[in-house]
Amino acid sequence: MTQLTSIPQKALGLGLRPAHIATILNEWPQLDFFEIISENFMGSKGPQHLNLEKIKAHYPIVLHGVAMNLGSADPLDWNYLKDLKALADWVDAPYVTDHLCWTGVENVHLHDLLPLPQDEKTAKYVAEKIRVVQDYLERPFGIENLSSYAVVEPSPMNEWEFYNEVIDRSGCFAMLDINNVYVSAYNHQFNPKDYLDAINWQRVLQCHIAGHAQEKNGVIIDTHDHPVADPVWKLYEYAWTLSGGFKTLLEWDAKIPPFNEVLAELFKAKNHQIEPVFIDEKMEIL
Amino acid sequence: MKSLLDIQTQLKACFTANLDIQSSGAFSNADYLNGLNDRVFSAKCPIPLLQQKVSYNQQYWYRIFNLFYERFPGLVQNWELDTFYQHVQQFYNESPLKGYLLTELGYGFGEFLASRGLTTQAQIARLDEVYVRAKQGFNLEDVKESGSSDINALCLKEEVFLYAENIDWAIHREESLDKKKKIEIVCKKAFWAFTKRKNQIIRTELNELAFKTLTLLKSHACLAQGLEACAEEFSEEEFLTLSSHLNEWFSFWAEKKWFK
Repeated sequence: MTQLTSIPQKALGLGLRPAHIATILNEWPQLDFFEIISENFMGSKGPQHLNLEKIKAHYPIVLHGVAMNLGSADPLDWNYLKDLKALADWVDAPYVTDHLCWTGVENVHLHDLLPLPQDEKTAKYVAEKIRVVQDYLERPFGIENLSSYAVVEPSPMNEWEFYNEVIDRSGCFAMLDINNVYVSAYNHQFNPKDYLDAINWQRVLQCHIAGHAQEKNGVIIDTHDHPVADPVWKLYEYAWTLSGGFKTLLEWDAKIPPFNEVLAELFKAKNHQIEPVFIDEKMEIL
Repeated sequence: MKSLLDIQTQLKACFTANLDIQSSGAFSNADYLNGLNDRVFSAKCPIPLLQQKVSYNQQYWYRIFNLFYERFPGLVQNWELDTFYQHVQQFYNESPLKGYLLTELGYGFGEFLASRGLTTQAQIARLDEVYVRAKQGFNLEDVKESGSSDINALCLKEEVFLYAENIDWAIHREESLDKKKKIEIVCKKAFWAFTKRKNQIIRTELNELAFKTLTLLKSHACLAQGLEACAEEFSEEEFLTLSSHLNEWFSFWAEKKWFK
């Protein structure tokens, strides 16, 4: 596992949401770190920065973006990167993450995290961009696997092959979302353990967990509006045994309950952190 | 073989087409999905399975609708959900966001509804919007003050948001957050100021004259100019009433840190 930062390797963190700010500022709960949505704080300073200034004095803050648009046919947006770097410097982010996807093209923002063709050419293309981003940010940079509902054809690689290819080629890190692995596996009917088995855990910066919802048509959508589902906790346990532990971050973005309920949901992770079992063996010949 | 740009341009066209087609039909989840299967995806698209395309479309709308749902609890409660979504859809199609930020999503929804003759809903939407703006604004205590007591230098802070309508929806605001509860609307002229202090939204009830005064103060560069406008625009009786309450009201507003 990757220990690049002052944040403990098995730390527990929460996505910082405006609905919880007042409670955090009043109660200063015990928590290892917060993750903020980069775009909510980029650019000129607003009221949200005043709260963040207080919070960042108490907790490490990591950045998680939704609009870097790494996979777009459009070139990198240097104004965006400049603002992101300024924010990362201001909060002294131990690391920065975004998604392995595209979010718009020809300067149109689609406000969604869309899948890429899963092939070597695209992996190479995105990896080149990631290398530039990582060099420019001068901080560890991780990419998140998508919750996917579709495969762009032709895609000779499966999701985890493509994800690993991009990470290997770019030298960046993995921001592995375990709920997304489950959502993709359910929607595309593959075994999620196959995905986790293929992960190079040495490159994992952090893992996300979240709730999802099932639509009437049977598809699971990564809604972040429920507690973490039992099958996702099972997968989390499996990931823990494979990796030996990682930073865990709970995302809750809609129908957000009070802070203490969200915190309690995060702390459930402790019950699922299954340490690898070491079995003593004796060689029969001795 | 198609280039990445070809694929993404095609997909972008699919998404854009979806928006137009959706706006033409009634929105309810089941009908919407069934309808889309037949109508929407005739365009060539590199995603092969119809259901998968619908899923992406759903996720896109889920995020947009969810934010509207959170930001306009009063409307959600006073409309059937389908009706609410239909108007959101029409509004969003006419005024899509230009950048990647969702902060300003829903700004202007009240005016849009008013332009459609939906007077009551427009009033409720305006209140919901005032709440959103206040929530997204600075805490009053964090806005730098000039320290001056000169009315030529002082002005009303932008973070004081004013609301006046013919229904007193503000008194039901907390109840409206429970979206399942049906609330009777009280038809009464209502005047409120909304501010944020210590991250809490503060609702201050005003009388009509105080509201009119604050509105003029807000639209002028300093208090002195605002008061001059009051002298010009108010009736003699109104101005006399203002004069007799001037010290009391201004002291109250200053104590609440409404001036900078």
